[in-house]
Amino acid sequence: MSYGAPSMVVLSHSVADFIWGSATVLSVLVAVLAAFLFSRRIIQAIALRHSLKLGAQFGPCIEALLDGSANYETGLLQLRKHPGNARRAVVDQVALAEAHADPDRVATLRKLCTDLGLVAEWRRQLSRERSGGLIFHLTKRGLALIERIPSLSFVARAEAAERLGLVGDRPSWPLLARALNDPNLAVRSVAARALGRIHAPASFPMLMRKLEDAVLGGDRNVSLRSLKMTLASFPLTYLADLSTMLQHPHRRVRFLAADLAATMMQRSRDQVRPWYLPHDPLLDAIADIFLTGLITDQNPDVRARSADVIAHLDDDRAVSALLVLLEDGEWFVRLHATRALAECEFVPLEQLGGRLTDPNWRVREAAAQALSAQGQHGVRFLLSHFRTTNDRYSREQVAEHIERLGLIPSLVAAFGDPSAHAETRFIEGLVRLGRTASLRAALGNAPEYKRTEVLAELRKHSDLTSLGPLRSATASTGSPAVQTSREGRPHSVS
Amino acid sequence: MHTFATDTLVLFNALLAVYFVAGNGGYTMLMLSSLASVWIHKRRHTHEALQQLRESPVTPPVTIIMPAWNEQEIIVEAVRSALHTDYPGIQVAVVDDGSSDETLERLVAAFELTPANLIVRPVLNTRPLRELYISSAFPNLLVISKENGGKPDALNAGLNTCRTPYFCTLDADCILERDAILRLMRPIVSSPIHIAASGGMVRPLNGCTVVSGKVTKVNLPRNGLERFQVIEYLRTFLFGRTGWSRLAGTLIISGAFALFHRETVVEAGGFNRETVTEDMELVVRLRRWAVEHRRVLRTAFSSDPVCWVLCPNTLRMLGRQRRRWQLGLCQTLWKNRALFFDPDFGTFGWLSLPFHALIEGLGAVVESVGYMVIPLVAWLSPARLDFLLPLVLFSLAYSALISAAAVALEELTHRRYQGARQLATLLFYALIENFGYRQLLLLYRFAGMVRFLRGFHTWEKVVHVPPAEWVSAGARARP
Repeated sequence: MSYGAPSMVVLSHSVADFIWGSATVLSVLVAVLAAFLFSRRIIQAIALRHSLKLGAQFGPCIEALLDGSANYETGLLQLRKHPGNARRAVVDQVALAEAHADPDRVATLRKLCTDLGLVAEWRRQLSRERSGGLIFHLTKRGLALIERIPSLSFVARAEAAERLGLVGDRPSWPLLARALNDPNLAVRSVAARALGRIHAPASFPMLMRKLEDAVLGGDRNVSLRSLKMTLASFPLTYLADLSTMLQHPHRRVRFLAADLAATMMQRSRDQVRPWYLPHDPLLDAIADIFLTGLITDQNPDVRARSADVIAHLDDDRAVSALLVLLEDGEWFVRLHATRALAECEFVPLEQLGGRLTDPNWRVREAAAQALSAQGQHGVRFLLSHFRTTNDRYSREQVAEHIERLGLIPSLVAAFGDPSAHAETRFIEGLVRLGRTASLRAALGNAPEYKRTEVLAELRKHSDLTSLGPLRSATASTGSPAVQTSREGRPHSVS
Repeated sequence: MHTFATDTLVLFNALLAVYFVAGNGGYTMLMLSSLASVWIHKRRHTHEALQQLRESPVTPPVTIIMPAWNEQEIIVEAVRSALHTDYPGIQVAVVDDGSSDETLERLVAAFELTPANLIVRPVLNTRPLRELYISSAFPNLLVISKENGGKPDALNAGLNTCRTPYFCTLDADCILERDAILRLMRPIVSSPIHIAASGGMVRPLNGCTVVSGKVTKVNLPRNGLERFQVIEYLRTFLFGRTGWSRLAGTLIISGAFALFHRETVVEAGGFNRETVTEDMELVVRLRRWAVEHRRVLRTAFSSDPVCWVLCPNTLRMLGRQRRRWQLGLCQTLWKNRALFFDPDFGTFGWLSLPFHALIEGLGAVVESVGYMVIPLVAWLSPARLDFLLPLVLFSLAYSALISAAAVALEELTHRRYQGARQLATLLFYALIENFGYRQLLLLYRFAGMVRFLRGFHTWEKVVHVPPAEWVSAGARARP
């Protein structure tokens, strides 16, 4: 044993004692934690019962006020008799939870929150102002714990911003605009969203400037998507405010403005097709910018987005403008123009059909979709094109689209009919291409006589090498779909 | 000799103490970092933000890619839940990776699938495709049948057909909550910085009631083994994933349920088969790719998007799962050992990777040896037990505290387990987790480590026993 051994033993015992003590403390902590959790449940159950009681007490009154079935002044007087915390809790529960679901009641809800002092309180929270002294706040009943901790106060600011947005309090927009520069990202995102609900007229140009700063100056306070979402939620009348940005010297700004215009229109349009931008002197001026200026913009992204807007302009020049874009040198401009033509009421099928042989597959695909969107005429055009073109890629694209439309069974049913020449030739062409998957399934489900008829007709063509697998697949039992999959045939790729 | 052995033990005791401090210190750091974060996140995010995402045309479209291999009992319910996801314009691509059971047949029957010669323009190499299927009843569903190539290969096949800017990987044994993808997309939309991957919370489905692809009642499983896994998942996701996400040190985004930016993943090379945990390997590779190409890229984790997954309910299956996880961890860390302490990778390089290597990776060895040393100490130097035993006890008690804290955080925030009895059960299992279950996992992790050292690369399939009502749903879907 060395000279220092006794002191080492003492040290070892001290450390051991410390560890025993710590283990005991930990055990106590776990017990305290468990006790805290269970007691919290009990407290919350009591609070919930109290909250339900408040809801039962105030809820009908608030509902009646929002419905308009009760006298507003009388209802307000009744609510004011009760403590502020209770009122706030019930307004949160009953009204704000439903605000997004029923916008018609928002105006009354806003008035109610204003008259109850809630809007003023939220504005104070958002601007980080406090009424009363610190002691008052620390002791004020019902004040959330989070507000007492400076580093967590952003939660209160975010909640305040959200509530101001939910009630649509327009006068709060400057506070919300200022909150776009809040140190906390959550507050900034919520503020952007709230501005998108409020639609304060003066906020739109401010948001546009913010977007511009994000693009040109690299301002990363709020994400581009959040800003775009906010701006896109404004009514279509605000399109007129885009005129300056649409003619901005910087290409990216012009692109953003065009993109935003397209998005706003996409959001606002209803399900009825075709949908057109309503006529209005200011909106007509915007339409003019697109029709005469932006379709020849040097930035192809701008030209592409212009197509999306022009598709919904009720103007004689619209289709011709889109046909110009249809011949653009950039594939994605042609793509957007093709998709845009699908939205139009009267479309020259020949020109649209020209895109079926576009060098870019996305444009070919969009052309097939756009043609089928024209109804029977478009589908017949596709079948006719399939028969006459020598472009293999184009034929494959049309074949795929016809399959996706689920038309193969009806083509099989019409096969051989003297008046269904296009349908018959299409089926033959499909077999010649080796694209027999859906045909196998359709034949498998067709009546025996139709199967025999189709196979007999196809047999006449000696160049149809895919006939063998087709014949054997439809002759065997079981699901033709799964069975051929088990054969392990490699899939064709173009 | 006796003195040498004693000195060695003294040294080992000291190393063990240092290891304990480092490990538990790390978990404490993650716990503290997560506590406020999860609580604030839960309080902050309300329905209103989701409503805007739901309605806005700016919200990017997403494709769910679901690889499946021999999942006949649960595939129909899983696909049904994916199709009923509340997300605008959702697309679903199921990849049948050469199943030898009735997985494909049940899909064909349940969703009225018909084969189609669709054009596929592959950007990633995969095993050959056999057939593609579409459905007129479910136009947003695509089923790909291919030759067996493993999960990464199946995911890549799904990526080849994916046309949306984002895709969500989803395992075939998972049930997605309806608004899960909206919640996964939320941080992507609101972040000014490009987020290439967004992960959510995975919760054990065992014990829950599922009706028509939806979890209607959350319950604890009856099996003790499954209950321990509930605790583990709570701790891992509420503390581990959240904590690392806050520190920008995320190593893992669970492949069972994650949202990725398609173009970034394709540029980084897609999923690969070099490891048995392709999800972890991809996340690390995305970081490397970002640094190499000087791109700013983030990953996000949120605790409110939820995916329910079946956990192993037998020791055999649990062992397979944990061995694979440990093997994959070791493979990924070894493959990326050059990134350790690399300043270009920030917290990820100097903290996350070393921590995972030393504590999660080597921890299996250190702890195992630690347990083996105790009887040796008792024999050679009983006096040392005065130090070692309290240390072990303290370590176990601290781990119990962390597990209990995870249960507490769950209780304070999401509270999916509503009953008081369920809370009591969770706390009980949190306390006893370290007396038996942890040691069991240690064995599996050790075995995984051994497999890594021996160069194994096999994927051990975990067979799940789905709830009875799923089996009947699958039976009804038979052709």
